[in-house]
Amino acid sequence: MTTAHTVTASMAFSKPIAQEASADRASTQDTTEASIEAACVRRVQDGDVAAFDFLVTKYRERLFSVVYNMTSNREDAADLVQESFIKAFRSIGRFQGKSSFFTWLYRIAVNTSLSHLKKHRLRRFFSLENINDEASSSEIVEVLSAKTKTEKGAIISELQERLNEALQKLSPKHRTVVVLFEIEGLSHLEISDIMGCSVGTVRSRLHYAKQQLQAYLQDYLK
Amino acid sequence: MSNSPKKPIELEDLLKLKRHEAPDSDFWEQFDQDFERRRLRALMAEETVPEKMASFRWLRGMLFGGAGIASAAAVVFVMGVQTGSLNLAWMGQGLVQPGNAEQVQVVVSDVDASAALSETFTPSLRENVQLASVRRSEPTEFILDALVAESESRGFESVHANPVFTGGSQGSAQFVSDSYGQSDRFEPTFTVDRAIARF
Repeated sequence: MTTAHTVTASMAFSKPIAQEASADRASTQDTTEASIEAACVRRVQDGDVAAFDFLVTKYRERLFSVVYNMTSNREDAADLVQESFIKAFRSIGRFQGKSSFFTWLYRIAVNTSLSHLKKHRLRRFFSLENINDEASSSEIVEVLSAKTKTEKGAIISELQERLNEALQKLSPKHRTVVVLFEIEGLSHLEISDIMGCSVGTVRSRLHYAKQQLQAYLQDYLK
Repeated sequence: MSNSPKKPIELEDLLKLKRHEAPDSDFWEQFDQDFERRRLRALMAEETVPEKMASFRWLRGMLFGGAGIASAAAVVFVMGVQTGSLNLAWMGQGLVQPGNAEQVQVVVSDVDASAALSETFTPSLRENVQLASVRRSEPTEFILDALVAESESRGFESVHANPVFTGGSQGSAQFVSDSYGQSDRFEPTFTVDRAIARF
């Protein structure tokens, strides 16, 4: 989560929430953010519906990224993220803080997405997001463009399609591990917590998945 | 930047490109609107439980009061209407048909607040109040619309429209609105049928 995002979300907070959070505010930015989030969760648990907006604003983009990369379908991803937030909203009373709220929320989103993928395993439609302009200045695009003497835009489009195809060839659980580790940058421990498996299983799935992806994408890796 | 064509490309580098696939601001605007609707629906679905419980209590009272099996059948019908309305109508203009009700009491309460604002309307009046306006369309109907609530935060309100009959209230309408959409119109979720008003 970027600082800018946090500031925006904090500004959207109603005054009482900020006051409540300030009571247990610690010196570091991370602790402050955690305090605000914890205060927000308590407010929602006490029946403050509006406080949930803070959590939605804070996590919607990250959850969307996870679910989108699991499904390769932007409409399904939007629907599943909303469904995940509704589930979280309904069951937040049972959230006891044993894990971080972030882990708990990711677990809901991942399980919701895995259920969806299992239910619709025979119906696969790609609906890909736009790639932002920053991609064209990334090092890998420059390298591939120079190597193949192809225009950057064409390289980006091709890569996007091939990457999504390759990811979709993995089993949902292997894909999830790759998405959480390589794209979202979570740790093995965080992934094991989210997926309810051991760290060893996460490492094993990641290793196998990357072997598969290496094979699918070998044309670009030569 | 070291963009030498000879630089080996790693799988991890390829996967990082996925981070650039992100929705634009229009997408998030639509997302927020859709989510708001779904949450409202979820909130209302939760409110059906106490409503149903109330209906059961009413049913029990009638049965013990000797109203008989015909009354019980009518109550089941009301519950069906209530649930159906909740699924179909969660936003828009609201219609309350209180049958021969003498008044409709509208209660608007902030979920966060302990106190509720209450207004009572009679069929002959067209009222514009701070939080809700009620107008009469036909002698046996009220239309609730244009719920307006000034609120700095994005709060929610629970709205109850209770038809008041001679001898006590029979059934109620209930819906949840978001003060964020101040100009929207909202539908109640319960229609009291004439036949029910007989009780």
